[in-house]
Amino acid sequence: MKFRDIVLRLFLIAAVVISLVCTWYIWFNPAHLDRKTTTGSTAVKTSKTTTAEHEKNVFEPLNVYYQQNGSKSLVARSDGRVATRIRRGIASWRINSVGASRKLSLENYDKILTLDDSVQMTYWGEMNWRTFDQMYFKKAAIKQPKDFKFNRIVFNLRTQKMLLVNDATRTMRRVKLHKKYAFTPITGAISKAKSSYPLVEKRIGTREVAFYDGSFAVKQYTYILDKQGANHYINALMSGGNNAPSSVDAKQLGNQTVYTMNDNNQRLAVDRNDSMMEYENFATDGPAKTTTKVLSAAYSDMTRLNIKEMRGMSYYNYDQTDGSVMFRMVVNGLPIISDLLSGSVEVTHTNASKRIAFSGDNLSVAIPTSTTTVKMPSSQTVLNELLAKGIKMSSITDLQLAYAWTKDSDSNQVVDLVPTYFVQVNDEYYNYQDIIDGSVSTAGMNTKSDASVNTETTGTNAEFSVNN
Amino acid sequence: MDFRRIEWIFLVAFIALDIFLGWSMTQSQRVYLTATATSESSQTAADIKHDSISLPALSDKTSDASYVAGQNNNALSQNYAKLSKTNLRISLATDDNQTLTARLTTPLQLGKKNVVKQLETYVHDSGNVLFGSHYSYMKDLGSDTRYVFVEKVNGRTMIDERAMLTLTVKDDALTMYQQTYIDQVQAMDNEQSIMSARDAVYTLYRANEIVDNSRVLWVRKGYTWLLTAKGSQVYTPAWFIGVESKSSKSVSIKRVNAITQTVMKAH
Repeated sequence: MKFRDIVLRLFLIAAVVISLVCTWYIWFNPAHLDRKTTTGSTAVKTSKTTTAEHEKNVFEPLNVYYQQNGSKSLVARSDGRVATRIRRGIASWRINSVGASRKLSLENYDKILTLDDSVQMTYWGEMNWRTFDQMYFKKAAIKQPKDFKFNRIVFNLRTQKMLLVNDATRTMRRVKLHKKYAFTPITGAISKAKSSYPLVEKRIGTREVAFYDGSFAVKQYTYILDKQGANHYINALMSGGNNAPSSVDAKQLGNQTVYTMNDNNQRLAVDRNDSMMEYENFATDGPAKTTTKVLSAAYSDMTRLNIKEMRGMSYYNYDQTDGSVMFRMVVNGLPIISDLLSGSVEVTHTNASKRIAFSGDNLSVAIPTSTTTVKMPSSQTVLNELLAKGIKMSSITDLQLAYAWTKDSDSNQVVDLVPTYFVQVNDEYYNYQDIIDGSVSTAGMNTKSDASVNTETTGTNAEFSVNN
Repeated sequence: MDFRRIEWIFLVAFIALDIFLGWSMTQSQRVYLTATATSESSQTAADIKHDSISLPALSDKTSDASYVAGQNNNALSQNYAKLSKTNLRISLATDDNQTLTARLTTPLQLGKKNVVKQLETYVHDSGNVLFGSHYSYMKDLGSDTRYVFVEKVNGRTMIDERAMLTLTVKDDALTMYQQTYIDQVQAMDNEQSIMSARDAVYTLYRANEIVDNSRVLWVRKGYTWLLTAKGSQVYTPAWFIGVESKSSKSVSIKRVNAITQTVMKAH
């Protein structure tokens, strides 16, 4: 065969291969794939009343504790929240005034924490007074104090008094109620709780952490997933909600498909390997100036996702350092924690942009299953194991009983919520079992020095030691 | 024409094709998306008419429903001894669901008139069919030789192979039947408004499941299997739509999940 013939044949083969590659690329281009999907986006029609009530549900405290006969328990129910019942029960109350902030001694602070015949509702993050007053009561407080932050609401059932406490600063404010209201809605809500997890609160850093005694089992759930693709969120977030045909540009960037419109002022990045998504709007006004408006705006942004099943979504934390507001799904009184943001929504509003990070997988409804409950170890046992693995106490900022979002072996249309402990190290949550079994390396976790972390303890806090 | 010339022609053609494909790739990849709320149906109705698709009268009324869940059961195997052994040869297959097959030792001759009524009488006799009163005839699912009965469970019509009674008729005689049975189902905690029959048909059309020159024969609402997990079988309310091709007269049955409003593919 002549040299020319060989060259001709090679060029021909190359041309054929190039055409096949180009065809494959065009065929599997995200724009082409998205045209094939046919899930329509349906506006979830809600009345103003429903939305207002839902917003109140979202800004309820995460935990409800009941202290009685010297012992404290987290109380919960699977068919709705205890906090909701309490809120609805006291909605007709009106606050007359809120006392000045009082710094508590360790002893007095401990007395409040262990106050017998009390119901204590706590937020994981902080709540501000104005949002609390708006969400809880039909009528605003008669004398409005300057806005302040707290995370614990204490109802003294014996004296029928109410306190607002900030655990981080150990300060307290007395609430003067307008009338002598009956506390029966609160005791009634407690009596209807179906689950009770005994605990003591111990201080880690500036946080009172629930230490469970390990004497109980927690129910595991299997939920049907409500999976929504990029189309749904593009329509919900980028089309302006007017249902008019709109066009977006789609590009592949590594593992992400990025949709942009309006000269890149709006973008939606979708991870092709998991369901994580992030929407960003660069042509938006700066963040609100007050905490109340920040929280309200974050709630509105969360609802723009148009997720069908929003029951159980709860405000978790507002981080003022980066402007982020976190919402998490709460099931049977426990939050869901996932590193893929499954069951969570994070809204971050800065001067540069507004960002909403979320997952395309959301909970729909629980399947009645024959799964048994999971016996939990005590929090102290878990902590001892983590310390034995080399994690320093000074690096730990939280230890939380929560649900892990776990793929189900039977079907990819469902997810298992498995109860476990999550430890927060350097602002990241880890499933403690992943640390114990080595799935997650502890290298680099201990980056904070002992001197920089507040390890002050109250009188009731036990010393943290591997030998406890 | 020698082989080398053919190669040159192919080379030129593929180079031209590669230039075109390369140009396509470098263009902005544009996605056009339409969010169509269920209330915006007039455009869809016009498109359907334009495509020569015939529709029956379709209700736009919505109703409330939820997923329901049931467990695998042994009701058929536990009770088949009650059936008449002289008339029936029974076999039972057990996998995820039990299927009872009964062959009549002497085929039951049927009169030419009121065949359905005669079959219903047969089905409702507890010596012939277990739990016969739970089943009701659904004409649209059968044919001249297969008469299909669907089960009603806790007040809900199940249109699913897991809750079905199929009677086989040959030469005007009932020869056998095959039965599956669901014992109980419980409603799950997601009761909500579900799409109307009209919206279900429009959803099917928008998903290109109803082609030009078709006829929608009937629309039925029932529950169908969605998934199995942790020992529970979950059923969803769905719209069943019979679509006939005007040219070939073949009929296909399509399903639309009434809660998620998506087309359900055959499983």
